[in-house]
Amino acid sequence: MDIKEIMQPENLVYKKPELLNDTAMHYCPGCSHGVVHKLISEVIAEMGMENKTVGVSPVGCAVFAYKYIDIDWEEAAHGRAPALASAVKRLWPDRLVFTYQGDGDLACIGTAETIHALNRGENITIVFVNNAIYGMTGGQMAPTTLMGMKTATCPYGRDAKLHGYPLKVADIAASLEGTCYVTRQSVHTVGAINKAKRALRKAFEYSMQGKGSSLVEMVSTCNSGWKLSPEKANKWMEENMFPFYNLGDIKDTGANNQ
Amino acid sequence: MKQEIIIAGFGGQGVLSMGKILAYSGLIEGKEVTWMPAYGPEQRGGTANVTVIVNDEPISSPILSTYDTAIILNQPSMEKFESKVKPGGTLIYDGYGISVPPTRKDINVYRVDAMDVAAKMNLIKIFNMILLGSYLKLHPIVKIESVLSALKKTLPERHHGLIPQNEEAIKKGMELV
Amino acid sequence: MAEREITLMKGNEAIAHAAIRCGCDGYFGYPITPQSEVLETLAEQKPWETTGMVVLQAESETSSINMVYGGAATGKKVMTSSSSPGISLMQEGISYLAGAELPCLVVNVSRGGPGLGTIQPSQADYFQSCKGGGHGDYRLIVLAPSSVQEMADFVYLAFELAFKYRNPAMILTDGVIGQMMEKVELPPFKARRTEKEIIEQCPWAANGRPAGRKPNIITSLELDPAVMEEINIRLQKKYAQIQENEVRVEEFMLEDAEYAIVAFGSAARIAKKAIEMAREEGIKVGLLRPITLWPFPIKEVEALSKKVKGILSLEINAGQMVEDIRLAVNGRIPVSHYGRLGGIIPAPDEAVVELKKLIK
Repeated sequence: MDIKEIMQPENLVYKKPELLNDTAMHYCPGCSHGVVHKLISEVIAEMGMENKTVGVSPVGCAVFAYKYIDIDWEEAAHGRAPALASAVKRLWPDRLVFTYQGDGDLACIGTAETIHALNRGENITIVFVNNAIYGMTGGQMAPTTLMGMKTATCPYGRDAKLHGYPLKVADIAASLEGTCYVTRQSVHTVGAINKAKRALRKAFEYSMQGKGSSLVEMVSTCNSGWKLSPEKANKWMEENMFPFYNLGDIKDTGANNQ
Repeated sequence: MKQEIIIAGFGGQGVLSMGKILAYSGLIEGKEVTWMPAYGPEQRGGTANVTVIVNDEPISSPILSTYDTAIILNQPSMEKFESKVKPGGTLIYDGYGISVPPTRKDINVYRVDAMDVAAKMNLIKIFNMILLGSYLKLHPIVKIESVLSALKKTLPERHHGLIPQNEEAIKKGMELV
Repeated sequence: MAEREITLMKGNEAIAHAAIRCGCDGYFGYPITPQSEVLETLAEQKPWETTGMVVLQAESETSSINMVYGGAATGKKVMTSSSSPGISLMQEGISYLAGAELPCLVVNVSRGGPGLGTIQPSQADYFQSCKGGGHGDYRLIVLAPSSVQEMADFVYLAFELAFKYRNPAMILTDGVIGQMMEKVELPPFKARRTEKEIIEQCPWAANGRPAGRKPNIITSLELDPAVMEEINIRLQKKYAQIQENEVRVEEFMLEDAEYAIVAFGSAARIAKKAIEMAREEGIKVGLLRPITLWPFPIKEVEALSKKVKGILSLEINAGQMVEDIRLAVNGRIPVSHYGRLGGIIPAPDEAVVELKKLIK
């Protein structure tokens, strides 16, 4: 049987979401971003919000998110995405507005914007991809870098005396009155991907229902930055990231907050 | 007619509001007016002053170095502004706050014991209106009716009951000079 | 509501009222002296209950300007205001707004610096406003009101120019005009544009992609230097067009003038008084007031230098606009500068003394 015979509509079992265009992604093989992009594309389409969504992309590896998902986008200055999103949602209340941010963007330079947008209860969703390292600039220490973890700017391992401690942003977010949904997910297995998608859908629904702010943290790998093969990176994440960044819902008041 | 006025005293004495009512009265009469405060934290406890200009013609600078009239409510302001009154100009001061009275002979000096009178009349909070009355007696640049309309416009409605007292204070001030 | 109202108010209050009346969609700001009355007046007026205008106190000036970026990128009419240190903090965002070619209004009620400086008035942000401020080759349209009336009117004008050229506009004023009360005739009400009108008028805006349209992406990022150069060349062409078409000046008593003061904003008011005083002494002097600081009135100053014997640049700073005047004069006649610093306002009589020095 040749390949052309196999590639028939009746044999289709999986298809790329329509919102995800054909631009070749610049992400490294094994990177979590591609999967998260796919989930966002699927959820927007499933909610029928293709024509009413504004995404805000960060500075970091996902700066070019706007090249891959066919919705309207604003590209923010480093860390400022939640400020942009706050304004967009207040000015266009019937739009689905989300930010897509990494750990450096969200938890370091943009901490103020993140905390205050969440604390105001802006009806937006923050998608937070946490891989504990600065990917785009070449593997430097992030606010979420684990203790002892080696990066280009802590080559001997993160040391509390020198660098302080990793920041658990989701736990902080959950303590804020303005948030209705805070969850930590991952996308390293099929099961995890399915769960992450449900979490994303819930967050986007809450945003549209005006229930407050949602933060969906995706605990992710950076195999280039971590200098591990994709497979080993996933294993390392399970063994080192998950014990510190526990997966699961941290807060969900959306259901009883009609 | 043009009047360039400086009103100066301590923050909380009603310096800025006296100036505002005067400026508003001018506005009601269709005149050109400016009200330029020395703003900032010195408003509380320290000295406060405001330059008010009322003119039939467009006003150039809202900030001046000399004045037609100075209304002085405390000693630091006297020291600062006595010399800034134009020759032939007017200086009105409240005797209560002044330990060293003005000495210039080339200007018209009026002492108005507004604070004492206000205390006797139980009108301490609006003693600035007594001084405004004295000023308007000497320089009737706006009508009393305009001042009363200005009070109505600038005071919150819940304080409109105080307008008759303000009128009384203005009239008292007119008697005092 | 009456269409035209004459009232007495502070310059800062006039900015707020004009914003509501001109159909502004959103204000994002942070308190700082001497401009806080803008946000206070908006909060007190509650325009979200009348025109539907959004008013939000942000967590910082950084956030304010980025909220402006977010809103402007959707085609809405949005603005912020601050004072010098806050405007410094906004410079990153202003550069991004210019780079992404977004229309918006930034009001700087400036105060004396550098650093935390003073809360008293100053014009020391001329360089920052007209020569960059943020990074990159960009220009802001900078308007300098010299009365409370112009504070109100220039909100309308700034938005008009910002949308005409898809470029951020700035009102550069100071504590004198911001804190002063003066007669003002509030401009007539303009309804906010409907979402349909915004989508029609701003086809570039990112506010949700209707079926069949390509995604609108608002960004200032382009990693290919050849493309980035093209973008820069296009921006420069736009700036040249603005320089050609949008210069605005006021002339005062220049007809028979032998000398001229060039001054903007509050300094122009002081200059007028100085001119009145000097003319009483028989000195024939007039005023050229740049209303647009950028585009700077190069041709107008050049023409002036062929008519008068000397120019005094009166500024509330150490000499900033005087550099632009000298470039336009190109050595033809003497140009001197007089200014006070750190929040001190030059008095009209000081300006007369300086004028006499120039004449000597």
